[in-house]
Amino acid sequence: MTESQMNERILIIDDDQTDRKMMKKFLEKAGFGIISMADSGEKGLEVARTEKPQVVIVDTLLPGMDGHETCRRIKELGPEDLKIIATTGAVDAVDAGRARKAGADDYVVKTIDYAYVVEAVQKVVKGTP
Amino acid sequence: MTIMDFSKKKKILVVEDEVQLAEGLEARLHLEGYQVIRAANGKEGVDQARSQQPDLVIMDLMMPKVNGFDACQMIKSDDRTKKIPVLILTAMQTLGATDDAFHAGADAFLPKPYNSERLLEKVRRLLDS
Amino acid sequence: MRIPVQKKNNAARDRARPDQNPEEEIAHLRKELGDMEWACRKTNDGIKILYKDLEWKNEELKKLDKLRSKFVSTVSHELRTPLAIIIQAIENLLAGAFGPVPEKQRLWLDRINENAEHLSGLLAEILDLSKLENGKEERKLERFDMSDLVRHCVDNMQPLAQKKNISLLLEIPPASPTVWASSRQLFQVMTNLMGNALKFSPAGGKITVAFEEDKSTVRVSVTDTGPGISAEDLKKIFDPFVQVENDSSENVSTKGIGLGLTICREIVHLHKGRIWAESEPGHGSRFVFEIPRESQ
Repeated sequence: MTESQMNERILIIDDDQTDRKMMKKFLEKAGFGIISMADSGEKGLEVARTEKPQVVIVDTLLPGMDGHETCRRIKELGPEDLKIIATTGAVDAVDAGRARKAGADDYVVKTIDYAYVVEAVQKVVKGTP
Repeated sequence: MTIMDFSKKKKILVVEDEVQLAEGLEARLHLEGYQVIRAANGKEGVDQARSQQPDLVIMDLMMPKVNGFDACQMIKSDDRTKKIPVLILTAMQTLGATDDAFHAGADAFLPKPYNSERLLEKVRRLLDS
Repeated sequence: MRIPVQKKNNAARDRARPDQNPEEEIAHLRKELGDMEWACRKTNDGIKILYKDLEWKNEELKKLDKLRSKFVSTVSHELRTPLAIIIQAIENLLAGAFGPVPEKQRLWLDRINENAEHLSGLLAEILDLSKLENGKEERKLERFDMSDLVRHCVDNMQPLAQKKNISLLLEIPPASPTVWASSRQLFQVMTNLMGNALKFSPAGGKITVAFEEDKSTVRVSVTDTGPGISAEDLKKIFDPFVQVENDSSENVSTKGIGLGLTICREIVHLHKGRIWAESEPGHGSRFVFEIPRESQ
């Protein structure tokens, strides 16, 4: 738990309410202070424009504008050091490839133990590849 | 009610750790004209069988110290007591229990709660053989 | 889902242009390879995580299963022992072991005895169903003649049938149909079906047990001349805790807990067979179960 983590702005974009709530809980427990949420790609884009998060967690499967497209657009908003974590309920190599092409910095599976998502966020914040 | 023949009063050993159940069984067998001796666990049961040489042993399965299976095996493998018929009573009603009881050498098997008539029928049958 | 125009342009950009120079092409291919390697690595990591998750879930399930078994065996012993003591004490009293019993007291003692026996039966049914559902029931499969089993069951039911003056008819074809199944469990099914038929048949009624077989299946039916079952009840009759209203049973001690047919269904399904009922109010009922001759 570091000072920088407390001030890190995180945005969670996921249409599953349980996943959103649980990830927020896990992140808060790990010391991240500023967490906003959105339940769709379009809304996520809006929040990203106004809140300017440093880390965005986006599910690859979203209704409406899909996760990869959302990732691409948020990446375009910048800044350059904005980090994006793509999450999924089911691991898939093709999906991972798409996430990479869309600009994601990591691709993590969501399980009962959301700690893996938190770990991914901590890694990008620290700057470790 | 059977007519009691004092010269040929049969002796039954009841091996049961549940005192109230043992007392009830003793009262009923007494009424039928049998002489009853009791043991409170498997080890006592085996000892009593050896020293008292009853005409029949009625035994529960789940008992402290030495349980019914082992006690039955011991009685049936000892030359001094192997001819004594053993009737097993038990609250356990799995197929496995029945098989085990017979492998241990039991001559008959009755699940608890039992019907007094059925019990007396089995007792009569085992004493006649 | 509409593909936005933007996406199409990106895809075009990602594809190597035919007029690219070799260095650009190589750089492009290197990037592609890098992306693929990244995707594979992330997928592997994800699979490992999912595997751990599965292992954990498995452990929890095993714990739950152990708890359930413990429950069944504890309930089995703890409830049965006091019940056995009660039944034994009443029977001793009624038999006169502690002195003669005045008529007035006898009635009430009989009542206690009846209900204690009834409780014992209910407990047995609940535990039976619980064991069946949890797969804890140990089944001994053997090859046996189904008609022997049916005959045995009918013989067992004779004394009860005679008391109510109900005639039992047995229709068995000449051939001896052998099956590979659990004789103890199928005996339980037969006993349940026949018990129901006897319970719901009026005095002077008739119960017919019929038998059919072909190369791969064996079918047994129990038909009674009772009041029949309404279409509504027919739909849920095999569900647990469902009882059909029966005018002739006023005593609580003759009412069941509604698990008998549920247990029958579990057993028949375990044998990969099927069980059903045909009935019309006022025209009796026919319960049929059918099992493959080589059961699992």
